Formats: sequence, C-alpha cells, structure tokens
Amino acid sequence: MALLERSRWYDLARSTNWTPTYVREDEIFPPDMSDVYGLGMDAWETYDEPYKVSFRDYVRVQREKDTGVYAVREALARSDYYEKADPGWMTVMKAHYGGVTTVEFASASTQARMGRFGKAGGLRNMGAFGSLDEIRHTQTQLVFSHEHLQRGNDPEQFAWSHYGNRTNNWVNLAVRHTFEDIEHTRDVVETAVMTSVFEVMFTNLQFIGLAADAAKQGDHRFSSLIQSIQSDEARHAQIGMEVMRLMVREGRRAEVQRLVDISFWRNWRAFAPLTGIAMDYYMPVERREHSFKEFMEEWVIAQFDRTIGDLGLARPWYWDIFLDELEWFVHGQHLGVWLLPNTVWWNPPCGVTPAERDWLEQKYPGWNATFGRCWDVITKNVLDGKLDKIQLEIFPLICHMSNLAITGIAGDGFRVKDHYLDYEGRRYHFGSEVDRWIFLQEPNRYKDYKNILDRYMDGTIQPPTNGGFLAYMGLNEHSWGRDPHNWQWNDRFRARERRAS
Amino acid sequence: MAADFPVGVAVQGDYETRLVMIEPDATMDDLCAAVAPFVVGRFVPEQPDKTMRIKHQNNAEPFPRDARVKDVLVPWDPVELLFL
Repeated sequence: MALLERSRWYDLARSTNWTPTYVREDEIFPPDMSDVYGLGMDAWETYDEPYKVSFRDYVRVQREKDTGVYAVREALARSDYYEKADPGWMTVMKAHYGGVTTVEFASASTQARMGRFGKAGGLRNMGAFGSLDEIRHTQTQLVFSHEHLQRGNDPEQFAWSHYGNRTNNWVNLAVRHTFEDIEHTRDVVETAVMTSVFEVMFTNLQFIGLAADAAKQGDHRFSSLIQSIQSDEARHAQIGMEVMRLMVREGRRAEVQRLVDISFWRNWRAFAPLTGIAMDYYMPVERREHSFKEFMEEWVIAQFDRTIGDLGLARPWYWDIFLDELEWFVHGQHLGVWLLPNTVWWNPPCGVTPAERDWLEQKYPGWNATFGRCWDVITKNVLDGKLDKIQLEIFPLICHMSNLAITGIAGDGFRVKDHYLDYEGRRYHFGSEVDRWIFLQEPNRYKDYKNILDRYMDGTIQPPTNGGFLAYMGLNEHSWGRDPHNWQWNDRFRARERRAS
Repeated sequence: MAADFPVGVAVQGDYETRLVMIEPDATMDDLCAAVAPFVVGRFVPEQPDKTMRIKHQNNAEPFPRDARVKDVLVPWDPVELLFL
C-alpha cells in the first residue's frame, strides 16, 4: 500500500484537540500553566509550527545524526590529538562540558512542559521532540566527555560534565539562576518565548561559533558533536518563534517585547563569561577564528535583528548599554576567573602573552590602556616572583541577578558601578541598570534568592574558610583550576625583554 | 569593635567592586588602608605621590578624610577609592 506524503496528513494527525466532556478544559490546560495571557483555544488553533516532523522521520533523522557523530569519534579514536592539544583548548572543552551538559538535561523538562501543557497540538508535538533532543544532547556530550576520563586527561575536571548543574559552584549557580528563570519556573507561553531567544540567538554562539573554533584547532570530534546538537536547536527554537507570532497577532506585542528583553539580557550575561572568555583568552591565539565580539556581531546581533524585525518587535530598550558592554564585559570577568583559578573546574590560561595582547588590542581597541593596565601590574609581579601578590584575597560584590562579580572598565577608562536597590529592607546589588530593571519587573520572583556571597555572609557556607568555601562549591585539589602552561607564558615576556636590551 | 560594617569599594583603575568589612568608627583613611593592600600593587599600580580618598559612587566630591564610616555611609554602600 502506498504511503501518503507527510504533508497530506500531518496537520490533521497532530491536531489532537477535541472538546472534552468528562473534565473541563482548564483542568487539562490550567490557565496559569498553559495560557497565562488568556489567548483562548481559537487563537491556539492557529498555531502553525514551521518545522513539521513525524515521529518516524524524527527518529530516522536523529539516528543518522548520531551515526555521523559517532562515526567521526570512532574514526579518530586512536588519534593522540588530545594528548598533544594546547592546554587552552582542553580548557575550552572542560568549561563547555561542565557548564552545558547538565543544563541540556534540565532542558528536557522545559521542552516536556511544552509537550504537556501547550494548548496547540503542534506546540505539544514539537515540545515532545524537543525533549528527546535535549536527552540526546546530554547523552552524546556525556559520552564524548567521558572519553577524557578514560584517557586520564584531568578526569576530575572533565567529570564536571556529569554534575555541573547540581553543584554550588559560582559559575554553575550563575547559569542555573538564568535557566531556572527563563526555562524552568514559568508557564508554557513565557517559557517558549524566553527559551527561543536563547536558542535562536545564543546557541549559535556556543554551537556554531565554537564548532568553527574547534575545526580550526583540528578537533573534528568536538566540532562534529556540537554541530550535530545545533541542528536540533535550530528546529526546536522555532517552537517559541511561532508563539511570539501568535501573541503579536493577538495584540500582546508589549508582553512579548518584555519577555524578549529579559531573556536576551539574561543570556548575554550567562554566555559572556562562559563563551566569551574561551574565545578571547583560552583559544590558542594563532588559530582563533574570531573574537567573541565579532562572533556576537555576526551570530547574535545580526540574527536577533532579523528575528525581531520579522516579528515586528523592537531592539531591547538597553541596546546601547549592551553594545557598550560588548567592548569590555568579558575582560573583567576573565581577570576574576584567572585570579581565582581554584574556584573553577578548568585550568584558565592567562591569555595575555605579548602576542595575545597585540591581538586583544587589535580586536578591542583601547584594551592596553584599560584592562592591560591591570595585567601590567600582575605580569610584573609574576616576573618578579611575587606570586603571593596575584592572590585575590577579598570577595567581589556579586550581582543579585547574574550571580557574577560586579565588574566594569579598568585602567584609564575606570568605570565600575554597583547599581544597587533597596527593596523591602534589603539592599540588592546589580552589575548593570538592566539587571536591576529585570529584578523590578517581578521582585517576588527574585527577592529571596541568596547569591554565593550572601551564603558566605549568613553562615550557610561552613566552615567560613577558604577551604570551606571551595568544598561548598564541590571543588578539591584534583578538580580545581591551575595555570595550564605551568607559568611558561612568563618566558615570552622575558624573551621580549632580552630582545629589547 | 568588630569589623562588621560592609562597604563595596571600587579602587580607581581596578576592574571590580570589592567587599570590605570595616569598623563603623573607622575613618575614610582607615577604609583606604584596609582595602589598599589587597588591590594596590596587585592589580593597580602604586601611586605614592598621590593621596587615597574615598567618595560615594554617586557623589562628585570625596568625603573628609576623618569622616567616620557610620556617619557618612550605610551598610553595603558602594564607594570609590581615588588617587588624588
């Protein structure tokens, strides 16, 4: 018997809404989970997902993707690439696996929520596939990262891929706070919109930008892995795009804009330290594809402009603040991480050898006169053997939204500001006007949260010592970071001094 | 008296705001002395020809050097340490 083409039956087959008789519609689809803006079932019936996939096709395509990825892995299994790879590149992978893999697993729940509570059949269908996507992403990244445990390449650092999102490490806290806000604690409509902003814009950065860098480093295993993941992201990113179109059609443009504005900023703050530092400081400089700023301009800003333009939305109100931060935010975060290597699960390279400083100045004009001033002092102390002077011995203030240190512009352009807020008798600290604005959009959502500095101050972290703090974050001498080049980067400065003299 | 008065201090030229616990009766000069060893000569250059002064981040002018923390700040206020 001939099979009907999918296009001839899909729309009918996935339209699984009918008029319930034994229960009320709001029992099946509780409004506070399924339709918080009250669009109504007639509106949801117009939901038309751009990607139409049957389960049979989905399984076939995913199987082909997995076959391709695992084939590359098998073909290169005997390669000693990772034994010879630059430590900076190994650091990029450790940061990625530990920061991303278990977040993917949590996202299976996000997609499943759409699969359960979406009022449109197409939304539920795509959500169910999206949930399977996220499980695939988790499994493949666990398999690939586990290879390093077997090889004995800093196994306790690569093991972070198994549990990163469940620790109280400050990096994971920042990522978790972001994704619990936009993915895990909202109704289906807001979740779909905010998750789409993440998937349409920022996964490009992590999975296409980083894939390009991986290929340039010669790491074809990692490159093929994350390209395969991105092919799924591109599909289930569309779930929320159609929700946005629907809301705009139904006169909810202002609400969509607000959700987009919140999500874009939260993602910017989460990805800048995770991806930005990797691209601007950890990648071996001779094989860098682009700067983080250039990747942001190409993959995030251009894509974002196209997307919001198509939807009839505007750029977020804080666009000028964002463009300003694009010039400097990563550099302060990198300084903080490098000065506290034992608080992360990777080995952070300094990334400021003479050649790297030239690259930074070229990509970020003015770097030498701003952040370079701090590195001048640090480098001199290192060259003079005063390693005790490069210890960070007092806490930075931590933003109550991003959970990152409150940083600004160093050196000649000095501009560091705490955008604080007094609310119900408590003082909150924010790294930007935008973080503060997000808090004020829904104070009850955020006001009781304790960042890692609060937990230290109120006695949650015990004992209140350096060791107690590291143990609270799940780190020990096998997993915490150290200089990956064994301080040999100093030799390049000494060589330059010898040449100069 | 316990050093239980939290102040956020951004040292001129530094890249982040740092938490300093200080005695409420401490002066602005005391505050400078408390934070400088952790930042100056480590992440910003020493500037022995200049005087360290404290100002609130929202103010244009520094506080008097002998002003007391408890009199001019509230806990968790953000200040800047400037070299003037």
